[in-house]
Amino acid sequence: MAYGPKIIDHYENPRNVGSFGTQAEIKQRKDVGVGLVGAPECGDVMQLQIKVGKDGVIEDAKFKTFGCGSAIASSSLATEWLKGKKIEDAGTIKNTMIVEELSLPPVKIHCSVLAEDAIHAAIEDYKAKNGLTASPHADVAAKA
Amino acid sequence: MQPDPFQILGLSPRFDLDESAIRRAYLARVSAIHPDLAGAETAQPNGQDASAELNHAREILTNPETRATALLAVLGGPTKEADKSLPPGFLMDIMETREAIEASLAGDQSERARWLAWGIAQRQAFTAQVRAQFAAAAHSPDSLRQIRTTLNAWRYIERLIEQLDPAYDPGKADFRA
Repeated sequence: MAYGPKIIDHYENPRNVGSFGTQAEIKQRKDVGVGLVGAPECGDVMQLQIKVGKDGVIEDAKFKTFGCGSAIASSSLATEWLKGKKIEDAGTIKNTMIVEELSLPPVKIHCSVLAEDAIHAAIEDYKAKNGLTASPHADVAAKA
Repeated sequence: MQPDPFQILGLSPRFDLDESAIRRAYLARVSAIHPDLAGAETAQPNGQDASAELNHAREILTNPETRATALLAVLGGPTKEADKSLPPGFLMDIMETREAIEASLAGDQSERARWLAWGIAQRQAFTAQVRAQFAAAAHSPDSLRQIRTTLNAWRYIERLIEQLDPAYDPGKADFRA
């Protein structure tokens, strides 16, 4: 299989593995958005967390993925890309960008979809916790 | 439409199928296409394809999870792509179980057997639940959706069991195949 060096690197040295607390703690934290998603195709579970500063910028991101190498690499890459992004812009990360960056083969595209779903779920969780359901940039991001 | 594995083996579609019934149906079909047994005139020209198809059908029906998936398809139920629903709270339960397993295995590998036993017990519970759901006299779209939800959840248990194998390597399937 012709997997590129980037995906191998993310798999062998995953960035930002972990959590900002126990499940009970992160549920309470308003500065942390949590996205928990599963892949019915294979049964993999992925949890992605974003820690958002008062200025609306994602200061830190963490993930925990119980699944295949491509799912681990996809979520590792997602946390790198999320850091430093404004919460409004985080939704612009698309699965196709992950596929391109990691050179994922067609059979592993669902892993990148899972990562995108996790990003959106984390953003939604953060917004719901902070009463920010109607972001002024939300529809722009959706159209992009 | 592609023939389903029940049709391929000449079995009536049902969940309660024991391995010996599947094996008997399989052997009967195999002997019908085998050139040595069937005779040159009646042997199918595409004997190899037919034999692979029979093997595949037998594998699907022998595993209770894939048998349930095949039966749901025969009954016209939703595919996992069309319906990704899970029982309420299930995903969080699985996440917490996964974290608990990770924590307990970090300290003590002997815990693995205990978690594997837990996984097998879950598999048996899902098998029993699906059996009861399929046993209903008639199936409505709603009851088929409920079976789909059960099967979606079951997949996470099978994946957990697979990954509890000490030889499991998440990179192997992807990078070192």
